[in-house]
Amino acid sequence: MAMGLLVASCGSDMTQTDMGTGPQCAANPMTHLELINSCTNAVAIDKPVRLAKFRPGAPLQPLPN
Amino acid sequence: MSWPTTISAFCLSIVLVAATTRQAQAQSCSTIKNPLYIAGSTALEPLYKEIGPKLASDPVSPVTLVYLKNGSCSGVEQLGTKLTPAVAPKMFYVDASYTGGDVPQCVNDLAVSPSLDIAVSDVFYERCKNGAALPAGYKDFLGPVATMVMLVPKQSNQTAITAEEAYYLYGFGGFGDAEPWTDENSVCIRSASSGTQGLWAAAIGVPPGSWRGKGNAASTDVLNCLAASAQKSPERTIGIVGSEIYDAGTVRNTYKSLAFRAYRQNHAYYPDSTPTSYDKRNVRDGRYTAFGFAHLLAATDATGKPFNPLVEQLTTLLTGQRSDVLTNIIRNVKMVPRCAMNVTRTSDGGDLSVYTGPSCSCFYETTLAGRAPDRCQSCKVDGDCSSSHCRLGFCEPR
Repeated sequence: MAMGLLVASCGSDMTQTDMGTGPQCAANPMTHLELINSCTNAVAIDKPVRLAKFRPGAPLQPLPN
Repeated sequence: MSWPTTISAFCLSIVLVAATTRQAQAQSCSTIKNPLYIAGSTALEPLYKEIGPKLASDPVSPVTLVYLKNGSCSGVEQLGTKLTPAVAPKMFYVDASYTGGDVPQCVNDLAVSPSLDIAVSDVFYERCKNGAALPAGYKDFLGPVATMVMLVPKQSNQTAITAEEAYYLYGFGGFGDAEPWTDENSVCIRSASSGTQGLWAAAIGVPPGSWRGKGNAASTDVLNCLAASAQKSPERTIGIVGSEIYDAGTVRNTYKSLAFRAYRQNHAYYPDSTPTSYDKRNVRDGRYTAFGFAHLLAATDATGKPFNPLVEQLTTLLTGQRSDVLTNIIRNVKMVPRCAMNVTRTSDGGDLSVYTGPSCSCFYETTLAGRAPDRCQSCKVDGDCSSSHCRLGFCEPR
């Protein structure tokens, strides 16, 4: 997988200028999932979700009334 | 005081009174020739100002644009209704004499109240009408694309936000723990009726009426809200605006757009290919999903042709490939013409699909950058292109 340098700094985002290449991107996108993850040389940022309430794979909590 | 001075003062006062009287006697809407009545979003107003005088002075088929600036869903509500003086006591109009500045208004003293010809909305009809479908006899002509952004001060360390974070930020406010945006007073939002908020709502799954933050009536108020909050805490400050605000003037000197990672997306992307470019490449290709079309809603026959030929004239202009109109859309209105998009969708925030309509990507990028990209081949006729599509002087894939 072609990845840029990973730069992590305390108190800020994981800012990585990943070039959006590699097996995770779709070279000839046709579906919604492929289109939003299509290959590109545009700047792409790896942004992990930083939320106390969030659990990967779990549904989002219902909105308060 | 001498007699000449007295007479001069008297004459000056006559002139001033006459001028004041003229101002007080506002134009009557009944004097407007060949009016086309529009209501709803103001997103296309820069276009009305630019093409309005040309349309009004067309020697063959003059049209005068007469419009209300009452917001997307208000325009949608008025579809099929009469513009009575009670509903629309005054209306803006752009006639052949308009040369810039404030758009004049006319007083609605029409003996017969006209029907609204076109409703312009930033969101799909269904979003304004709680899911109800556009009634038979009307068509949604999809116009240029508007992009929505989340801005933070340039001093902020933040560069991106995920849909999940935005869900908790705007849906739960301070209780969402969406660090660092945990102070609702520093979260600058719009209102439930705002197209900007409506499109972001669709992207993250928080209904526009449920948003938490500091409400603002207009985009300019959001900028003021951002400025006030940034003085106290730039890191906690965030706000939503349309990209036509972000791309204009000196806003980019003070604020930056966050990259956005949609649900099921692997990376966060800016609307543009880099943080400092203006090409909207990721919007056009579908990697930045917070966008929406300008919707032109009008009554049509069974074939989808507007009953009113003036309506057909305007919808064709705003959805077609006339180079002067496209240039205005790109440079002045700062929207993406549909022909420059490579994706489309059938609902706000809905799944994207490949757009197969005629392309004008090379014209779009050339107009923005001032020079043609290296990949763009010039042409005069379809036969010049291996794709057989010569559009606006460039070979296009479709």
